[in-house]
Amino acid sequence: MSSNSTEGPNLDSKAGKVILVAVDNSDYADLVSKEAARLSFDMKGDVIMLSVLPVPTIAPAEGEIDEDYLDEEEEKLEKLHNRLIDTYFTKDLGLLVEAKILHGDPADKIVRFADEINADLIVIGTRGRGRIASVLLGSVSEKVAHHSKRSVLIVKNPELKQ
Amino acid sequence: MAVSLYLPALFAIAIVVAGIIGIKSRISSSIFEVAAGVILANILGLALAPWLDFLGTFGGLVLTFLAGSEVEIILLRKQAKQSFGIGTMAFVAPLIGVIGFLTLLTNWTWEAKLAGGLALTTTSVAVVYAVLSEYEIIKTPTAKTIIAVTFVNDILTLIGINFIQTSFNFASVAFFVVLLALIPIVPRLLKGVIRNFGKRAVELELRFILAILLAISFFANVANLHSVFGAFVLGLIFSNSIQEHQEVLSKMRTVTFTLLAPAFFIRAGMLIALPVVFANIFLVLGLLGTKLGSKFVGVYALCKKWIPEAPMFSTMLFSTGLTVGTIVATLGNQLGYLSNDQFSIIVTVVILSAVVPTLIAKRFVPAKV
Repeated sequence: MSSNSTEGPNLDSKAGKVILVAVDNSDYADLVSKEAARLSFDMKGDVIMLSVLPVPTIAPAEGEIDEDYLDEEEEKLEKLHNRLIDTYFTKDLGLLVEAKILHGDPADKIVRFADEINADLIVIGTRGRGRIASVLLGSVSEKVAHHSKRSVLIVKNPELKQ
Repeated sequence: MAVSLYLPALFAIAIVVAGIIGIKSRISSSIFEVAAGVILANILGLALAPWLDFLGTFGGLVLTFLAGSEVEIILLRKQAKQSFGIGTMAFVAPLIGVIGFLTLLTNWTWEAKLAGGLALTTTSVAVVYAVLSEYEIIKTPTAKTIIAVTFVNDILTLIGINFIQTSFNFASVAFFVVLLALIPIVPRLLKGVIRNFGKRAVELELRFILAILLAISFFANVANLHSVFGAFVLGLIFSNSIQEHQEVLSKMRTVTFTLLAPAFFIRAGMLIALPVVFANIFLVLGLLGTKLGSKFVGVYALCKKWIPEAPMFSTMLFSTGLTVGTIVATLGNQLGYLSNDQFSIIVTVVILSAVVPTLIAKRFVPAKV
């Protein structure tokens, strides 16, 4: 079962584990989803697939962000969710798979949302940047691992050089 | 004579760095582009080159066009009472407040006070969208009311700039007649251009929009109105039709935020004299306080009436400003009514108003809307 929404997830019937899968429109979304699907099957856990649309939280310029821009970007993420859920989660019948889109700072939103839904595990990918690139460009996965009280599984791409 | 690529190279590097810092800090790169302009002029001592002056002015026109094109006419109709009620006060109160403040404390000319006042009347639609989406309330009825108010505020500010220099003539009347005639024609023209020539490498639909934008802006100048007013009205005329063609809007954003908007903000930054800002820091803070205070006096009671679930939150959002404020100040400077020193002061206040009320608003995010 899958659904896609920007509203709150329906987890009233939560009985087992909840796995939060954080993906974006990058190459490693498939790798993360594949790993999350395997884990959810093993753990018999429900899955929330989350994407955060980054928006500048202070002082954007006119036209930089508006309703059309948000709709356009959300549409892309919805398509990504549908593809990932159809590809990796359809075999896990009986599991609840929901999709969610939030806006703002990705790391902050993932950490907060994981607390909100009381996630047992956060599964997130890493671009596998080197130490200097991570410091300069930041790493969402590192921030999530550092700031979240939840268990975090960082999925790495073995083909990428560290 | 060989063209020197020194400043273009610095400009290109500066906008890349500003973009990276903006993305990392989740603060709009436009703020860092202004800062880059300040550094280029105040620290490296570079002068504003004619090509950057043109690109920046063109950027201002395109940004104003985008501000007009994001206005949702249907939403304005639906929320007419609240949006026009609060939006009018959000425009009038700071205009009176800032002009009064400047009259009391400075010897600025009437035109300088009017230009400065108008620059500080604005509410930033983009800031409002960003905050509403960050708190996941963008789809709520409260958000729709807040957005509709910001549209009205912008429209009144852009109408107001025509009163900085009042010398309407026959060409002004002709300009309005042409604009009225364009309302039904433009959507059909755009549709025709996209159908017959669109989606090709030459990007004819973009060329069409930019051509009509520059033509109307030029005509607005001839009509003794202001080019940015023409750009805004054209954006309004395009708003419904362009919103139906997402790909065109997306391409417009690409062109704008790759080059033109950074040029606009760097140009504005290069005209800011840091020593003037420091020497007038109390005036800067006083103007910021006056903008926030007068917006509060003007709209808080109305927000309590029409947006009871979030009166303080919405009041603070209506106190934000950035792009349109900078555009109005730039116009005042280009017309010669705001001196470079006065421009430095007003733009600094505008930038602060993009940050300070946003931070305050975030402390009053409604729990339930």
